[in-house]
Amino acid sequence: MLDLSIVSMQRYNMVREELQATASLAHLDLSEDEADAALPAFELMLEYFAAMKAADEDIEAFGRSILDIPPTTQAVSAGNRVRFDYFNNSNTNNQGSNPLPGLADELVKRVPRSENRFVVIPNVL
Amino acid sequence: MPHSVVRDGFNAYFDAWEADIGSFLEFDKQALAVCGAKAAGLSPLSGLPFGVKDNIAVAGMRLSCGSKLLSGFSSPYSATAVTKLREAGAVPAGKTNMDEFGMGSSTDNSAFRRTNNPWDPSRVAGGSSGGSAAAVAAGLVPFALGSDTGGSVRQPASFCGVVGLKPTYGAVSRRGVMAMASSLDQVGPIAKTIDDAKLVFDIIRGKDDLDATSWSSDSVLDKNQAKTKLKIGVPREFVSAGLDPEVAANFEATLAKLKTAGHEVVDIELPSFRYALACYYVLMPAEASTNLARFDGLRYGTKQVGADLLGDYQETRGTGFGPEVRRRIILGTYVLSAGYADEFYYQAVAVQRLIKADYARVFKEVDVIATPTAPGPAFKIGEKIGDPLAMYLEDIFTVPVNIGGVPAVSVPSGQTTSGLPLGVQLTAGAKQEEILFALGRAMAA
Repeated sequence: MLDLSIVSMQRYNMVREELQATASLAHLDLSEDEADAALPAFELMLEYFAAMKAADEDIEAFGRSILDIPPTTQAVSAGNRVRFDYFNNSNTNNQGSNPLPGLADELVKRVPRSENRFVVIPNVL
Repeated sequence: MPHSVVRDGFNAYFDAWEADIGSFLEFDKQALAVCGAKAAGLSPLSGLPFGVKDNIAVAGMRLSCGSKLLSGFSSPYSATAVTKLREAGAVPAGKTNMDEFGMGSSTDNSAFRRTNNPWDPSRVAGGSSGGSAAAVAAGLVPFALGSDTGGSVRQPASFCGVVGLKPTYGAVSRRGVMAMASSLDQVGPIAKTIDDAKLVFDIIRGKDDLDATSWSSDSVLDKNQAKTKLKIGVPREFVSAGLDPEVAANFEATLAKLKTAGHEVVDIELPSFRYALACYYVLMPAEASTNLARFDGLRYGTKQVGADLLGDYQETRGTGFGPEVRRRIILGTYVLSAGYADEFYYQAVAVQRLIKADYARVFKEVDVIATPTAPGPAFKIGEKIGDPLAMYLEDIFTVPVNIGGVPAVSVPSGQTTSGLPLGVQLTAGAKQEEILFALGRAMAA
């Protein structure tokens, strides 16, 4: 087992309601029992993540505070690349000289419930 | 020998191994007939069958990502990496098992089946590309594609005694690969030897207009190509604590071998790496929770009906996603939420910059960084399933590579006394895969 105490860790408190509210934001239903069972693991993980705070003042490691460091926005700084926007209902880019029927049609075929090329959802009004 | 005799022999071999290891979720034995017809092609891969991790699209085959939520879903098109291999004459023969949506280090999180290690079926094959690594190790396919977000190609390759390459971010197109954490994901080959991995990589790499993060292989810097003696850095502080004693001894023996071959080994410091695991396990769930929001039962896969639209979402996602995926979606949602984003997500993206800066500094001093691929050999099935943090620690050496966007390869480095394979991870600067191949060859020599 590796030593987890690489940085000072402080107890992290999370209440069940907070966990349930987060699950609900993610469209996941979490019963009270499930939330109670999951809570200790979440607290341990968040405790470990919160220890990144120590990096702010880890002068020994970084020679300066990281508070003024701008966040990373791209893994490889190649700048933004955009392509011309066009409608393409074929799948020729993958099939060379043997095009499949329209990709959009193929995708709609795989929808759990559809009607005349529309995706069926419950009434929301 | 007639083809039919070879095929019958292979089918029996395949079935016997699959009963023990369970590496494939789908295998098309008919594809092998196509292989015979293509065997005389010009590419070195012509006529070879290959395995494809089940989160990489192959037209007409399943694309379940190891998840119940997508069981029954088949892909209408192929990933660019698969199309390129097809054009080179190779034949996708099946979809390999994986941890659900790539979340895990054992393949125990697959919704469909367990994948066992071919060297010892009571142990895991590693993950999340465990099916691909086990299939190659058992000789069921000569190579396979995996995806690597935090070590998912390298760690199973190490556990199964094969080569696994995580290329530089953007070296291989991600078109047709189910996104987990888009800023970290990369497709990579798993093969028996370094040279085989390079053959596959040279075919699948390159710019793709359908993946804006991919770049042309013409832009590869080859200033080090001519170098025959390389400088290898070892982050001593990072690799000293918590290693399995046999892994530590094997690692030192590998370094000694490389020194004997004329390479220089020096100690280096990577102070930011102590924060890498925490950084990764914030970034990855944050991105995954966003990417997996699309699975609502309306457009893909299976649907469960609830009382209303929200009920449909909750029922579909609640019953379709397994426990680890649910855990990471909730974690990701939490670290991105208004009250906590500063403490977790934005702190992680600041730490990411430190890790990238550490790599940039160190690669001015050395050509390659060497560490073990994993802190121990393949562990017993189910051993860490109830302890997420212990499972996450499996990734301690592999996650910094994805955070830094640099390439790394796991190369077989020997075995434990009980016969379990071990691997050493070699990491180079961005776009320097050729150095990894050169040093990997030196290790195998």
